[in-house]
Amino acid sequence: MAGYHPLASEAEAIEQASHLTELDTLTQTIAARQLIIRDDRTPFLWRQFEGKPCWEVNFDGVSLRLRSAISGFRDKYVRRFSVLLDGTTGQLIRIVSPFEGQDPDFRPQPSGAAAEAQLRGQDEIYEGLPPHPPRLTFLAALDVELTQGIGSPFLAKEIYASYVTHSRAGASPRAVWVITLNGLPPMPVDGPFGDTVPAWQRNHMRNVVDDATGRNLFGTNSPQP
Amino acid sequence: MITAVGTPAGGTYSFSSSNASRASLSGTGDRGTITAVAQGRAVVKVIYNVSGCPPCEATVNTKICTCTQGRKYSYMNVSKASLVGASCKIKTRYGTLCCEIEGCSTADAFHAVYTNISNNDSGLKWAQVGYSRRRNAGSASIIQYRKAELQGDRYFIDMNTANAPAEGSVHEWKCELDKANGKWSYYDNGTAWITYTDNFWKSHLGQVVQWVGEILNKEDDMPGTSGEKCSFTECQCKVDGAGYVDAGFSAADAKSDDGSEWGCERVSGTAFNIWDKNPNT
Repeated sequence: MAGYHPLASEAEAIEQASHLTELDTLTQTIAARQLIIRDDRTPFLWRQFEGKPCWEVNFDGVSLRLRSAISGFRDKYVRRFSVLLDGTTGQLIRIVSPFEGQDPDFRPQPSGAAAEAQLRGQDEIYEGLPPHPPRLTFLAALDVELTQGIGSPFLAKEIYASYVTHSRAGASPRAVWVITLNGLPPMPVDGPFGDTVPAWQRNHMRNVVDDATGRNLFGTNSPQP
Repeated sequence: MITAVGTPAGGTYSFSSSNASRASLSGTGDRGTITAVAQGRAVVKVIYNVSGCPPCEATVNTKICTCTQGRKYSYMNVSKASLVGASCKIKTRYGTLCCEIEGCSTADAFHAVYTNISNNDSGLKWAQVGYSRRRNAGSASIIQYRKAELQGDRYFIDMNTANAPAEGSVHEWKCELDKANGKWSYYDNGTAWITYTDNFWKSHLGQVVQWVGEILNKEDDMPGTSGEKCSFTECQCKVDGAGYVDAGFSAADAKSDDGSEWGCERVSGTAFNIWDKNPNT
């Protein structure tokens, strides 16, 4: 995989986003534009992203296909993935596939500050963006999530992903994919009163995948909206 | 529904199942209707009789998937005021989930084993720590993990797939409340591996401690078998302002939702076993 480098043109942005994600294997409807980042919600990193010029590369009409999926399985959603890249460094800032429909149990992601406060309480930190591109592409990380993680990407109405340097409980920082599946079927909660937990608190899951080993480290429903 | 075709035409068909406790069969003319009874396998047979020919037969191998959702429990239950901690050493036993052996389901399924403290002042709130085996809706993959949960003003769960306990290993699972901060710490063999903070728990303490085996579907295995039970030992709890004390189990504390399906036996004042009496095979 090519290293990070400044992105001087729309073509370079599309090439870089395609390298990082492999989403170009699922659609030919790809376009890029320059914009300024506003209202980023990545915990710990949102401040440094705010106001930054970037490239947004949109992959439209995507139906997910994952290597480990059941043969012939079809994604019921047609998705748009927006990949944000730092124009100066070429680093991946985030990937978002938003949900445009109606769902009474659907909640937007918490603000970056609110998410950060919750994660700090659980001794979890995003330390920054790794200096080198990920070993796993976004689709490969999604495949890890499908086979080892909590929740199926195919059932998620909305998907968020970041590639960050991460640590938890004092462990050494490592490069990970953080992938949030939102709008999942509400997960059954253990215990006789598990079903009393509101659906909006158990219909999303954030999985953390170690980029070096390709292992899913954990899944959590934190931060809550 | 299956349809049989016999040649020459004009004969009669009879349908049967090799295992009516798994799949029953009824036939009308050349059509057989298979009805799932319980998960497992059965061979469906059709015999064709027609004048002038010896009977001939055909068979079809079938897999029957039934995942009947409805939580079931085997557990010990101890009530105490002002609980702030509970622990127990639990031998890790993973069973199979509904239709896992048959490989024909993508339905939600899990079993879980955990230490749990709860409060019911304003709806049930709880903290629990232990391990689980799960299949997520829409996926055929099975995952194992250690888990921590908190229900307070908000609900949190962490499923730590990278540190799932190994089959047969013994882990001490403990959860403990720092009431001044509403902060629960969850321990695996003495190491706090995650914490959750919640305002509800700044003003409430536990009332009941349970050590639990739970399944989501009737056909999920309760952890443990008659030969290799899921054993809980050195179970203790802690009330506010005091140290850990033995759970003090009595025979009446042992509970099972159905004693013919899932066992729960007291061993001592601090130990008990659970197991599945009819595990999937």
